[in-house]
Amino acid sequence: MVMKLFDSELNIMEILWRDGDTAAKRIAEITKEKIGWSKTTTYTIIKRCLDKGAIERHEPNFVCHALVTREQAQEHETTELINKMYDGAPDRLIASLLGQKRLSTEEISRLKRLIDSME
Amino acid sequence: MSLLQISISASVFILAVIFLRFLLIHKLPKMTFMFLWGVALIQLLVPVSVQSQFSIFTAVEHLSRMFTVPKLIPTPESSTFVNGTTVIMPPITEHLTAPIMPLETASQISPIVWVWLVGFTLCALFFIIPHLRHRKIYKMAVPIRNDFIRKWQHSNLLWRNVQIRQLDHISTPLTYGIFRPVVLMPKNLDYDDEKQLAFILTHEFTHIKRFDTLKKWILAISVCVHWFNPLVWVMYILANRDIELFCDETVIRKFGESTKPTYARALVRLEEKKIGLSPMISSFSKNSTEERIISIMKTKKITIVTMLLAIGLVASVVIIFATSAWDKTEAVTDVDNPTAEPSAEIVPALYQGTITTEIVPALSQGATITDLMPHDLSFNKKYDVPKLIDSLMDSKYRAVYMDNEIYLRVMMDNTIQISKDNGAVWKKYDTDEVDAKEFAKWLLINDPIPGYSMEEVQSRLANGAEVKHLVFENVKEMYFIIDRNGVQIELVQPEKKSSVLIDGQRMMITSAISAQMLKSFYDLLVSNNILSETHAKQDYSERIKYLEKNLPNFIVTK
Repeated sequence: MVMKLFDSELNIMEILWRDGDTAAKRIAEITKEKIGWSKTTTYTIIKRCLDKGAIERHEPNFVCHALVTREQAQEHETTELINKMYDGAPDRLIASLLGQKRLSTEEISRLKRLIDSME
Repeated sequence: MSLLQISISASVFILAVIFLRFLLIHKLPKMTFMFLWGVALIQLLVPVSVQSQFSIFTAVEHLSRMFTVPKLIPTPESSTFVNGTTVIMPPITEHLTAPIMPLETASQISPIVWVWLVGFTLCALFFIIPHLRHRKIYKMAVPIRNDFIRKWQHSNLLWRNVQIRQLDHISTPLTYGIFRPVVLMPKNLDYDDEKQLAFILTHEFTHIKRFDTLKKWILAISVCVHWFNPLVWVMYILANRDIELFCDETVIRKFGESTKPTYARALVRLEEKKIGLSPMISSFSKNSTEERIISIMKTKKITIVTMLLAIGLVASVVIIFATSAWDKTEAVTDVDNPTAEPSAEIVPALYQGTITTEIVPALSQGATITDLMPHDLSFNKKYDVPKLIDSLMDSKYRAVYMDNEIYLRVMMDNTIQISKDNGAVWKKYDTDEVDAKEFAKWLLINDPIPGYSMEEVQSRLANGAEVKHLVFENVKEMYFIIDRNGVQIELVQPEKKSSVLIDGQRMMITSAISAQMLKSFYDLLVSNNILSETHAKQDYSERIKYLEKNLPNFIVTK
């Protein structure tokens, strides 16, 4: 089984692979120090790992256990979901509706020719 | 000014800027357009207008006056009143709809305000929800380990602490956060290409230095407030693009003009990275990227000539399109309703000596909203309003007022007495004091027919008039503007009612009036010893004749 994981998720998995089963609280402490994530952010990412089936949790203390090995995990290919996100400003939806759709290959080469001609 | 008026007058300016941008976007320094959009935002969000003699609205006003002159020519009947005895009374301004922003007690909110609120809320959610969702993802970024970036950041310190992090969910660099900005770099970037990294970082840091995220939020707010105005949406899109163009321009200036092609190619490379699964192509996007590239390639040194040209152009566009008409703050309203005030040049004063033939519509279901505006009445006979006012001044009262429900009189010591049984029993009513400045502001926003007797009321308020406030059981409210010249009453009521006021300055009749009501009014004058019974009878019958002859809609209820 191969699982595609984002960098953020891989960071969590890294801790589990290195230290074995770890309580969520402890993970949050480590990531806060190492990466600078807030507790909420770390919990959000743990939740995503749970949803993907990359980890499972045990009561009490929300102890996380890795379900995939380092070999089974794969970096997520960026191109897949990136496109809808553009910048940090409040115009997300409008940007995707109106302005920031991806260009076709033909458009790109046309733009390159445009630069050449104006140079 | 109402929101709609603000929106409309700002639209004229926005149109002018759009036109100018269409012609000159690649010719002028981008600063020019940033400034113009800034002026548009101020117009849209700050309810203050600046007057100018050269305003387009002054011109429109002149034109509209030229075309409306025939309406103002007196009819033969009324021309007999011209000989010094005719009086036009600026009427009381009565609220036709519930106030948009109640000063004190919140009365009913009109359906239009509800519609606006719903639109505003939807629009705000439309911005906020996706933003929060994305922010959650941005927070998952991880620190970046790159020597070049670290060194670059050390030599480009900003006042705010900026974090540079990496995120694999994105394909182009971005910046978020206004006070604690974070630059996010995509993972699939060529981190060995130091030239490109320098371009990207300079670009993002320029955004941060200029608070561009804040600008974009303010633009979003203007769209939320003016969601009903399509031109504001167009402005939103173009201004967002111009923020980018201005940023590009700055980066190129910094690196030197020779780097233009390199920078443009770096931009195309980032666009290329976005090519993925979906074959969706938006022509709008093609235009915006193309516009950006042309703009980059055409960036030139700012010469004194272009600078002067830009400044001159900005100044004239702002003076012509962003100011309101000279001498009349509410020029736009007058264009819509040219007969509201016979001549804009005359400051509403005691006796203007001009004639209008106003229609007093029936107080019936058939009457439209515009028919229900307050009305001037021309009083022409010997027991005319000036004399009524003189008698009133001699009497124990400063003003008398009447509507379908109450008789009201303002005493010499400015206390207010009200009778609810046609003058049989009078009771003193306690009023609240209202801050005149607050009231003046409130009136500017809420007056249903701004510009009517507005200027005069505003100057009275500025010169220390006292404002008293009275709330009746049936949500009707009254504001009394009292100074040594007289008393003016601002009536706030949810429903349309006819009313008559005579005070130290003039007589005013608001909305429609019936014969019965006019009769009661003369009875009130008699019972308050302002008019003798014979005079009242005579004046009343002449008035009725005049109204019946001139105003077909006039209701006579015997």
